[in-house]
Amino acid sequence: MKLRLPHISPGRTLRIAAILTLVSLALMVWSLLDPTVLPVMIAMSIGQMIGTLAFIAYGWIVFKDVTRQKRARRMSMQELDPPNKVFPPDSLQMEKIR
Amino acid sequence: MEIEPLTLVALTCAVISAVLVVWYLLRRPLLTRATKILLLFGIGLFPLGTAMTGNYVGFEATKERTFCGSCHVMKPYTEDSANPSSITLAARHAKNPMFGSQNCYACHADYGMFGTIKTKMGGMRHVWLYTTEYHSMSLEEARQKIHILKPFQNSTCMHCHSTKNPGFNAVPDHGSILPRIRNGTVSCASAGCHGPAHPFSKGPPR
Repeated sequence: MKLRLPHISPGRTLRIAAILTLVSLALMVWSLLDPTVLPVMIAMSIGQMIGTLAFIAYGWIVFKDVTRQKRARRMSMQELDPPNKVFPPDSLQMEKIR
Repeated sequence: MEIEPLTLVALTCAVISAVLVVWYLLRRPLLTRATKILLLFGIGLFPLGTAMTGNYVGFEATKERTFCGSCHVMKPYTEDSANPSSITLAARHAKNPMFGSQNCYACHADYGMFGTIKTKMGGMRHVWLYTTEYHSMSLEEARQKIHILKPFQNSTCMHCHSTKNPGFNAVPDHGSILPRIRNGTVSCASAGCHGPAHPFSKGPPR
């Protein structure tokens, strides 16, 4: 069975990552300002987990964007200079003469 | 309110990160190279700075007496310990600047190579027990029920009181049972010696 992830646009994923970052920062700041059992435990577990998730989402989007850009650049290079370019016979003759 | 330098670093990282992230959320710029770098700082590096310094500050905070006292069932213990007129073993140690506000940790921590890890694991057990059993327990009930998991180790006392000083051995009660003090068969913290450590101390369950 193939696992299918829901399709979310890169912009939306980054916005979710940004909101998750704010949530994790809020939890970590709470533990800094009120260093009692509950805030410290939550910051060190849930807070850091949410922050890591946000960073993974950001990394995934950047990775996909960079690979997409590379692919697009490669495609455009191929369009400009196709490898199986067929030269007309006359032009080959001209090369030899030169 | 006094803020530790590392807490300040963590808060600064958090504020910078929040500003960058909020800017991104409000402006919604295109994903250009500049935006990626900005988000690398906003979502990655500055939150990492907050997490790292925050972890250190958090671990240090777990050594404080106020942290132990943040569970209500520990309040009588920490209040007695912080009471300058109390003469219990815990209170007397709290008056020593070497122990100070971290006196709970200084006496109840495991020492040795993996001591800190073992202590933190034990602390996690305390949090679990508090959450599952003692959270809604009254103080009166908790005083009756809460007990130390295993007998208090004399080796903890012997980190400072080496038992090798002439003054220590000159005390008749020390000299007569010195081997038993060192091997832990007689507890320094027992009633009749220097204990009980707290007004409500109980030994481990039999």
